[in-house]
Amino acid sequence: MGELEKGSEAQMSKKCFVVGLLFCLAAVSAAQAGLLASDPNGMVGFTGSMNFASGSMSATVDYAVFSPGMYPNDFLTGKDPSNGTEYVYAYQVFPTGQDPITVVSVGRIAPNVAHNAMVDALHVTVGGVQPSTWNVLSSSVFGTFMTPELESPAYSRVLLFTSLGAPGWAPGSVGNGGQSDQKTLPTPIPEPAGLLGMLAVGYGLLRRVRL
Amino acid sequence: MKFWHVGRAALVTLCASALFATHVRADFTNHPLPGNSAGLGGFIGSTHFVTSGGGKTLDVNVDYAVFAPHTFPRGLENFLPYSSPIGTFGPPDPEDYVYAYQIYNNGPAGDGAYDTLIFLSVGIDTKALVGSLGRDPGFDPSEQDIDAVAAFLGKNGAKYYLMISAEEGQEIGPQEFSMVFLLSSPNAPKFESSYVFGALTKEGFLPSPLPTPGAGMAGFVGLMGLAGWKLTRRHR
Repeated sequence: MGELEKGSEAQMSKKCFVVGLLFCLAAVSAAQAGLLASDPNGMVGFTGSMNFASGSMSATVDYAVFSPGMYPNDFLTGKDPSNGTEYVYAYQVFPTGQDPITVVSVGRIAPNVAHNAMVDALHVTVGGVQPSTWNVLSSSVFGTFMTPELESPAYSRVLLFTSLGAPGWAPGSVGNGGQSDQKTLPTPIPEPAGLLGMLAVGYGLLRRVRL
Repeated sequence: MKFWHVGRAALVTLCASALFATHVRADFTNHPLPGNSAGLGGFIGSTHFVTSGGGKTLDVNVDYAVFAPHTFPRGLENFLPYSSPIGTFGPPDPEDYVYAYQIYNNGPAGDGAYDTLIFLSVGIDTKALVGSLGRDPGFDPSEQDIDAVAAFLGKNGAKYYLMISAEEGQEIGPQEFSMVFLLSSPNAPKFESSYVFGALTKEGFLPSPLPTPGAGMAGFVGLMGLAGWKLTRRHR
């Protein structure tokens, strides 16, 4: 009986070890693969990965765009700064080369409104490297990794911003010391309502001039 | 009658913008670096960076000049090191080379289709030595040259940030240009991959410190000597 108990204990500890190992492997592979790229709540067509490379610099940027209210806002798996009222644009940078990544940017198409640029350490992968800066500028949403630089196998926290504008595509870039690459990333496009408004104003002005 | 008013207003606006454009262009043609006679032969000039994407065009020139030790024409007292939370630098060593860069955004003034510039990144070999990053506000006599808000020396590059957030700094828009940015190093120059960054990005080559082969060789000889000394001791 005693030997039987010892045997079953040994088997249990073996099982625990295997389960623990599998859990660790799953966690590591999750961090590598980047779950944001396959987030089931992301908008179809605007959830995926983009590879950037130039010389010895290379990185994968995972992205996902969430319709209003679809990004978690429970403070356990995510924080939506718009409280579910706007589209959430989320990005995560994974360096894949030997050189560190120091900058990332998502282009903006005027006159879209992007705001609430913030970092979410809770969504998809817990932790990640905090960027030195992540801000909305006039022509892009721009992030830097300076202290520390973003080096493989580390990855960034989820970088996000919100907008009333639905997604389209604009140039997105990644760079390090002397190398950079430009591809496309999801970004808000000007709202149809805004465009219609501008057209209406233009038409009104035209009519006034004609009168 | 109304057409006349509109036409007159348009004419006034056109004249005003032409005057403004002329004013900007006057300083825009300064370019104090490419023809600088004190610069090292082969390392004075300008690199053109141009690219398009997403309905925008980035059209920028980065002028450069490298000055051998003791030849910086404005004197090292005008080398003002950057000091910010992301990078604080001391004064340059008098025995250092001085590398100078200046950014010009060539896009037409007021044209939203042309990109604004956020920063310049000068690629630097990981083995090269960099003493200080700074600028010289008086190198270009213009008072419209835009200073960087911060400079940062990374693992393999030096960056001059024009803007970091909406409140910090100023982007270089079309027909605008930067202050003369400086870098000091004991290493002589070569050309290294570098890039400019706005909403778009483009790589090009700029002068950058070259690690001295002598230093590497000395290190190798030193290591060999150390290995030999250890082997000799072991045999004893």
